[in-house]
Amino acid sequence: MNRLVNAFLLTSLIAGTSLVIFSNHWFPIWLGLELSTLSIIPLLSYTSQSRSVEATLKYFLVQAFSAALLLNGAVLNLWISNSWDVNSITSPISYFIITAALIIKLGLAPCHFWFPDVLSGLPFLSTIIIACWQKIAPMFLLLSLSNLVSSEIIIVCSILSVLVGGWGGLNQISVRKILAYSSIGHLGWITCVAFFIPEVSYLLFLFYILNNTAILLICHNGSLYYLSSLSKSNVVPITAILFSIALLSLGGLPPLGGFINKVIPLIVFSLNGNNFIIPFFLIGSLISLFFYIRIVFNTSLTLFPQHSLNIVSFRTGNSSLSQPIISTLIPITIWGLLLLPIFFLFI
Amino acid sequence: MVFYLFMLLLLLGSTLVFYSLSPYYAALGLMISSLFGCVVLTSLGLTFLALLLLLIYMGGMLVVFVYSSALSADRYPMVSNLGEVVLLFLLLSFWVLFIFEDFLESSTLFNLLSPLNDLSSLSVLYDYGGAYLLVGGLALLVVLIVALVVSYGSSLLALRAL
Repeated sequence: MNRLVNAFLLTSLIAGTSLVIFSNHWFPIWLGLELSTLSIIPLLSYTSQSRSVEATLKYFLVQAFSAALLLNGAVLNLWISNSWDVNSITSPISYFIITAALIIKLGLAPCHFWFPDVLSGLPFLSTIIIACWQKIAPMFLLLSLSNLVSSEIIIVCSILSVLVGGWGGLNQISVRKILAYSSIGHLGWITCVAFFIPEVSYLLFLFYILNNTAILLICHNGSLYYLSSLSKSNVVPITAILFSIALLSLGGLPPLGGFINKVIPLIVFSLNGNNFIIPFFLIGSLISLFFYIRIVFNTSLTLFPQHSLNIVSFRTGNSSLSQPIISTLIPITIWGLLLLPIFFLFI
Repeated sequence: MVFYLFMLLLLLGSTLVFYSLSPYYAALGLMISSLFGCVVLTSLGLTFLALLLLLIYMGGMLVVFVYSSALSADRYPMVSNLGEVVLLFLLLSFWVLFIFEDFLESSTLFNLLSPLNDLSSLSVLYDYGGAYLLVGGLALLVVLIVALVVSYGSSLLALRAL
C-alpha cells in the first residue's frame, strides 16, 4: 500500500486511541473508538486474500456494533444523570450497557467468539495491532469506570474468560489461535483485579502487552503460523531460547516475569478476603500452561529426525527491524519479577 | 396520539429495512424511517435537527445508496415480501400496544416544549465545542480515505468490480 496512506492510517489509529484515553466526554470517546476501528480496516485487508478480508469484516462488524452500544449507554446515562461526563455514571443500567459494550470490544468471555476467528485470519503484524494496541482503549475505559462503580459482572466475565482461555486453546494447531485464547485468559486475570484496585490493573495490562508483543514479533520473524512449523523454523538460535522463556513467562512460571500477572491478583484477592474465586483462576491458568508448554516442547525440547546441517544455523536472514524491538522486550520477561515491589505502592 | 402514529410509521420503515428481500424496498424503508424520524423530531420542537437529518441523510446519503444498489443489481431479482413485512409490523405494534397499554392515557408532555429548543445548545457546538467539530471533520476525512482505499483494492487504477 502507498506509504503515505499507510502513515496516515497509522497516525489516525494512534490519534483515535489517544482521543479515547484523554477525554472525559463520552462523544470523543465513541469517536476515538470508531476512528481506531476504521483506520485499521485497510491495514488488515490490503492483501486482498480472502482470509484477511473475512477476518477484517468480522472485526469491523463486532467493533462497530459494540461502539454503537457504547454510545447508546452513554446517551442513556445522559438522560438519567444529565451529564456527558465519564465520571458521572450514576445508574446501574447505563453502567451495564457500557460495560457490556467494552466486554464485547475486549473479547472477554462470554463475548469472546469473534477473537480467535479474527486473529487466525490475519498475518502476525496485524495480529499485534488487534491483540495488543486495540485493547488499550477499551481496557482503559473499563478500568476508569471500575474506579467509580464496582460491579460483579467484571468478576463473572473474568472467571469465564480464564476458563474459556484455558479450555479453548487445548486442541489447537494454529499458533495464532493459541495466542488468541491465551490473550482471552490473560485479560480475565487483568480485569478481575479491576473490581478491587483498578490502578494495579494498569500495571498488569502493561506487562501483558509487552510480553505478548515480544512473542508475536518473534512469531512474525520466524513465520511460525502452525505448530508443525515450530521445529523447522530458522530463527537466530538465541531467539529460539528466548521464545521459550517468553512463552513460559506468559504461562506464569515463578522466576520469570509473567509471574507478576498471577501473583499480584492472588495477593489482591486474598487481601480482600475473596478466596472463593481463586481456584477458578488457578484451574484456568494451569490448563493454559499446558498448551504453552506444548509450544515450548515443539520448539526447543524435541529434535525431529533431520539432517545435521539444519540443526546448526548460524547464518539467518533475520536482521529485520523487529530484532531490536524483541531484544528490548524480552528482558522484561526474564527480570520482570524484580518489578514486584512497585505493586506494594498501591496497597 | 398522532405522535405515536408517527413513531409507529418509523417502526414500519425499520421493519421494511431489515426484513425485505430486495434492496430497493430496504432503501424505501430507509426513506420512510428517516422521513418520519424528522416528523417526530419536529413535533418535539427540534426543527433544526430534523432539517439537518432530511438534507444530509435523504438528500445525500440515500441518493448514493440507491445509485450504488442499482449498480450492484442482480440479474434475477427476488420478488418482494411486502405482505410479510406489513404483517410483522402489525404484530410488533400490537404486541407493544397490548403490553404497554398505560402509556396511551398518560399526558402528552411533548407538546409543551417550545420550538427551536435545539438552537440554544447548538450554538455551543460552533463556539466552545469547535474542537469537537474539527475532530469530527478529521474523522470523516479518515473515513473517506479508508473507503477509497478499501474500494480500490489492489488495482489502484479504477474501481474494481465489486
